[in-house]
Amino acid sequence: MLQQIAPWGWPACAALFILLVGPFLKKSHLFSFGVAFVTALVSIFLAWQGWISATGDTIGFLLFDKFTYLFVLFFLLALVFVLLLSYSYLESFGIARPEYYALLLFMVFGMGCMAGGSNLMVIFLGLEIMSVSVYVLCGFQRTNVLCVEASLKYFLIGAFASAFLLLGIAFIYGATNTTDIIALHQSGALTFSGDTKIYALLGLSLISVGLAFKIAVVPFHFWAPDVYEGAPVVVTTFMATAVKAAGFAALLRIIWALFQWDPVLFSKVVWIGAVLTMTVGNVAALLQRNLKRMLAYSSVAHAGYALIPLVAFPQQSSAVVASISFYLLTYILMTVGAFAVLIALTEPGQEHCDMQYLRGMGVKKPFLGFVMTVFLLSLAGIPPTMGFFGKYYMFLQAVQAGSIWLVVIGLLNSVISVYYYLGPVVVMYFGGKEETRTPEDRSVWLSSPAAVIAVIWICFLSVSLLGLFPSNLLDLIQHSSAAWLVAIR
Amino acid sequence: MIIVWAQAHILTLLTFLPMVGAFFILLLPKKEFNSIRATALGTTLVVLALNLWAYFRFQGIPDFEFQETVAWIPAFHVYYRLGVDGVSFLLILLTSFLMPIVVLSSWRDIEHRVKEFFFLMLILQTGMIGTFAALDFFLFYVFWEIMLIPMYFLIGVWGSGKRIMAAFKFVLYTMVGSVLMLVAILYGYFKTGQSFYLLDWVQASFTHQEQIWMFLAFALAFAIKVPIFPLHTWLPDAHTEAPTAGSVILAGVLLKMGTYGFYRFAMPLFPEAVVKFGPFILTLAVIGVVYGSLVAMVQKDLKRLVAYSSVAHLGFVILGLFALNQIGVQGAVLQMLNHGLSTGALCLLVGMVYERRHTRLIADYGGIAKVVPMYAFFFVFVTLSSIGLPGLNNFVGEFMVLLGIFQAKKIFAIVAITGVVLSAVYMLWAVERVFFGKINHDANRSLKDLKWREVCVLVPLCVAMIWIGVYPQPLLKKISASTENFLKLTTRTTTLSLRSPEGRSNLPLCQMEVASSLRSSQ
Repeated sequence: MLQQIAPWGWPACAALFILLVGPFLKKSHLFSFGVAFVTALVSIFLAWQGWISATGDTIGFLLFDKFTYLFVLFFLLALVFVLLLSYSYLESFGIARPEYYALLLFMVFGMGCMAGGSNLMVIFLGLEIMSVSVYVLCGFQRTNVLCVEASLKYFLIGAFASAFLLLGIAFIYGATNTTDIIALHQSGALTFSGDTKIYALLGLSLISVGLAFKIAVVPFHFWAPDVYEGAPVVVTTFMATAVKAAGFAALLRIIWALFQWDPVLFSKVVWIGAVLTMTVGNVAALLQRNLKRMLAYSSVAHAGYALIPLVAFPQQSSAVVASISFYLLTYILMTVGAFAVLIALTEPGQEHCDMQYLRGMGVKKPFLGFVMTVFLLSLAGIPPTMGFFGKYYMFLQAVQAGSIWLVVIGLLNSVISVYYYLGPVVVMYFGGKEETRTPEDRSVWLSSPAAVIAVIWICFLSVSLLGLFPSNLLDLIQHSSAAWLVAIR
Repeated sequence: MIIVWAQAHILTLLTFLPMVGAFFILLLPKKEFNSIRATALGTTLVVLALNLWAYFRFQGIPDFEFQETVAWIPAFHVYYRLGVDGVSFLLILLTSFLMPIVVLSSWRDIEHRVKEFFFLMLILQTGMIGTFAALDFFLFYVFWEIMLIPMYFLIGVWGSGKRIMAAFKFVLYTMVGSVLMLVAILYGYFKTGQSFYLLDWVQASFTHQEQIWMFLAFALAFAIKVPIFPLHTWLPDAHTEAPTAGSVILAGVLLKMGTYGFYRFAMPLFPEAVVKFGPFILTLAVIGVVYGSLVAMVQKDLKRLVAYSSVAHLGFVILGLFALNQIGVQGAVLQMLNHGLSTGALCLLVGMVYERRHTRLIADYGGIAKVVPMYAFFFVFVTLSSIGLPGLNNFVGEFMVLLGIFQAKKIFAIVAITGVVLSAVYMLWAVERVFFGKINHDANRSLKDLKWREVCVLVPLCVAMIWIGVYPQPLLKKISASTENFLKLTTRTTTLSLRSPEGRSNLPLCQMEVASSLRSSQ
């Protein structure tokens, strides 16, 4: 048990260690960063070992299968990126405190429990551990009003969402007498009658609402733009990537357990949810001039895309889970990349997220301009990037399930998204001769911290190479999802 | 040894050599303008030489030649499959013929961000050749979309006037069409038992309903690209605002992607839909011919005039393809080539004078034939080619198309023939206003005539025009087997006959054997 939980249990211990020792040291920032970074790397190794040897056992309330470890790897990957991005950022904003790293590590612990929980209560607990940490992190820059506002907003809405989720779990327990997802899965189609049936459906819908809040599905997305904009950009990066991936991991587990109560209703809800989420996210993003807000709405839209394959859930469950997992990894890589470029542009104590700030960047900072373009094209899903392949993989599932119109709507949404993703490209490159003739000094680009540049390089190489040669990664992910869904059936 | 290897991988070489050149350019220092230009020119010339060499080795049999197959993403049955028939190889040849010309023409034209410019041009070439050579739908779609991005930058960065709007219009129009095509591709993938291979699709039996829908999805993507009236509105903007090199490539090659798409995918795969929508598309094409010519007549901007003339000329190509007889289709293919040469040359000429005077308005010129006699000579020559003077290239193509459509549907031929007359009107009228009469603007008196570099750019085009006009037989010989094949596939009446064993032998494909042997070897 200890050995198996180590990949995400170990970060929690490290977090406690940082909290205990950190405040008493002189170089507490460097110390806590070092501990967190080493922990993350060791955990990645452990998670990889876990992935290789995972057998799909359930120990206690946790499911140790390849799916769990795959998602833990995603979280840890995002954690490594965010740690590398954070160090210089926190220094320059004067908010370099050990708690920051402890909270990030706690979040990973919570996320691991969400992905690996075999009991609704464990999933809920994981979600709370993650959420409480992220509320604090959102308001980490206490002197900034927007930041505190974001934190408060997120906290209030998040508390609501948690209440919904918990109430839903309670109703389901009332209807079925269990909160174990395997038992729920095996209970089969909805055979309740009278009051029990109402409780079960009520529970199901309340859980859906709770999770929809967390992954920002329309109409439960209103918090996202404000929180994304207000939070420090490094925290936004982690929220947009790892938190979303964790939400989807929990969603997939719960859907697997509960969809068969009413598959027809389920696919209808998914259909409507996906269409609304994509369309609202994309249309709202069209109007944004602030890049953080734009990426917030785009993250709403991407949640919508990721719902699309769920309409194929009963028949092709393994492929559906694989395609969503693949897309989440894709999304982590390209979003971290885009945010990393913003962080590279940050001046001490000041974030520059207005689109106008990018003006002429294609000439002034050719490398940053170029990789930003690649990330944006990938987000828009233009081949041969990874974003295209990920989207393609998901849409393939929906087409196979016969939801042609859903895919048509999804793809037309991609066209809308091309418009706003190319917006920054216009600002960066199309300035005309006057503006760009004088290549200014590249000092800002040179002064970007090496760690940030490293993250950008990793994301850039993955997004471009894994889009062209996705086969190995694909095998890995398909194997993970197949292992989960076959082992338990 | 090396020749055998080169011949076996000739299409890969042609496709990816430009990309290799592009990476070399990336390595060069930013300020070394001349070595950047020379690298680009060298790369395109090597590609052209290779392409000519391969063209002589091309046999013109009714099958895909120079085929290459490598597994790419086995989990999705995606293969890297290249192969060409007479038509696609002709279009590849057109591409590699135009590229060195374009590079040479932008030698002095492009002075800022030279490195990025030539980098994008070469990437664009990879995209274009790849699109013509791909036999796998996934691969085709990837190349098809790759082309968008360099073109978007070419228009947006080096364009003039309302370039940003034009660039967006170009990308968004094309994207709308191509995403619907992607849906059809995904649907077909499952209908054909999970295959992206063109020949599997040919053998698949789509129901009538499926054919209709898939044809519509494909046809929309290609019709936007051609462009067929009324989907043409992006072209005048994109074409006008693009830099000279961009408009040459746009008019010369990118528009052919649309007609090539009809030829390769939309028509032979969905014959029932062709029967159903044929008259409708013919009507639109003929409207395009007349409407394009009429609108071209009233343009004040030379480049917009050329853009609308493209709408008219491409209407002829569609007419020829949908005439569904040998002479019409051959004429259409020849016309694709001709339009690339003539309109490409026109864009270059307009670009040359724009470089000198920074205006494209017809009213700003007048009587300049006396000042720049050499320029005037080339312009008039290309104009005569464009309006179809006997002995030059367009005459052959247009004549064949009209003959074909006359045999098939007389009424369309009668209406389309007015297009020939109108094209003479708008082109000659423009020539008259620009070159003859009195010189009204003093700025025009000091206009410089063509430099030797510019003459070098134009002469190959003019030679090709005369050659095709006088002796098109060698070209036609290499495409005739492919067009016959196309016709047999497109006019097959029912898909049912394909499934029966007797029908199988009737199928005009020795590719069938190739396809089955390929599958068994995998």
